[in-house]
Amino acid sequence: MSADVPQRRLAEVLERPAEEFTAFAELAPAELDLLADSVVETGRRQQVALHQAVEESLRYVPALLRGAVKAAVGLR
Amino acid sequence: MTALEVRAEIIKLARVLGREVDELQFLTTVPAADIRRLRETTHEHLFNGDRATFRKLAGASKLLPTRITAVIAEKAFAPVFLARIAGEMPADRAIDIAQRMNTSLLADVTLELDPRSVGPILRDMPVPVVRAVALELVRRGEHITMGLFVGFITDTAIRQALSAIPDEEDLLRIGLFIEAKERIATLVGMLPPARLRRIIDLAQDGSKDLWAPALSLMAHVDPATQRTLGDMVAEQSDESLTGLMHRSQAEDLWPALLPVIARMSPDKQARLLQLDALADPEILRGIFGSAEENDLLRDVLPLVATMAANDIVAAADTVDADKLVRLFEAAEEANLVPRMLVLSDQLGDEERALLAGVAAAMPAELQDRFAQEVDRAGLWPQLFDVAATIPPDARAGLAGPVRRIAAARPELVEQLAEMAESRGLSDLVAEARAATG
Repeated sequence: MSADVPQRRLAEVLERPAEEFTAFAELAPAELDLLADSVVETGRRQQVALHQAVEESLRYVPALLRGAVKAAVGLR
Repeated sequence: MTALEVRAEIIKLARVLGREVDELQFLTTVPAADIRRLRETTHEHLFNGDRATFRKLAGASKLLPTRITAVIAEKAFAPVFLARIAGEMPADRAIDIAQRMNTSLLADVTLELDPRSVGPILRDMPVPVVRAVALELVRRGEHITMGLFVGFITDTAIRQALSAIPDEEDLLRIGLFIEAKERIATLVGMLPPARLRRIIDLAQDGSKDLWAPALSLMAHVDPATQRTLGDMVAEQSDESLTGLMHRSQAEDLWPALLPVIARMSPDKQARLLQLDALADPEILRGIFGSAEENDLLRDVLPLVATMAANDIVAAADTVDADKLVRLFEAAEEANLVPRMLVLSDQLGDEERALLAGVAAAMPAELQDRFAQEVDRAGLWPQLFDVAATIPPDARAGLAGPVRRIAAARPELVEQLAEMAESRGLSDLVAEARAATG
């Protein structure tokens, strides 16, 4: 992956070869950065929300089953 | 369709990235297929990282009664995660849980689903559930999502949803975002004529911005339906049609519109030719530029020839000479005369004969100016090449104009005689020589 490929950062963020994004090569660097930043920010928001949801869900699991469910989702 | 498809893809990508559509307007120069690929790649990237967790959650749900799983789903998980967990579950279990959820939450989840990962669930979901969710999504104005799902639900479910959605404006707005273009013909075929007419009426309404969505449907239906819809368009008032021509120009919609015009009934096509808007050089440039770019010349040139022939030859007594002059002026301004000649090899013999008929029936003023234009552009060889392919019977109609132009400009006769004879046009050379005495 060449360092001077304009779409390099977008490709790295998405973990794909830069060649898959040649159609975006004519965009301005700031525009490519906006796309890459958006992917990163969305991923970060999603991770936080998923963690909270898993914790929250256990409150609704009947006490008798809580251990088994925790084990199934890898929390112990 | 390119501009339309790009517009739709930018809207869909903005949703995945949590951005405003205006923030991504710089993508208008990128092909729609590449924006779509970026969206799908982003979607996969965002979820593949957590896939193991989603799998475990789907597995854990098997330990609980469906009723409790549905409660947990409603209370604890954001729709975006429910959508992903559903993709990791057996379809029958996911459907069982979905039927216990309220319609509003199901609609929330649907907004987050990647339909490619839950195909069996969508296919087997009971039709009343699909219908209820469809109505909720329409109520929220979620046309993009509905367009995404058309390719994944059964014809029966589509039929039910269509009949439940009362407003054709919603159908048009959904149509713009349908990704499974191959389903559009089936979908439109399910609509009764009254609803189709209402769609066309709405498309003409300048305040609603629905012309582009209507064309995105018309571009993908079968030729017979294209004719039906195209004829309905042509039955509108001159004012409406003129407005549509200008909107097609402004929004670069000719690639979708030209095939529809080409399939209209001949009388409806003739009606369009009457529009003054077609004498606008900018519009002519748009039509021919688009036809060239999108390989639609086979649609457009015969249309021009047929329409012009109908207008000039068959209705010779009602020819509006002033309008023809204006059309020719517009064509000159748009530099179309030489391009038409260069492109005439796209026409068949019958169409060339029609053009010859048009040339013969042109007012003298236009014939003179056409000759001047050809002379100025050095296009006599191309013109003679075209003339040589016109059947002799049809070519005889050109004798009159040749005689008159030769009489007015005798120097052209000797200058061009050899070139014309070498292409087998001795008959016309003889006419020209007779005229110069």
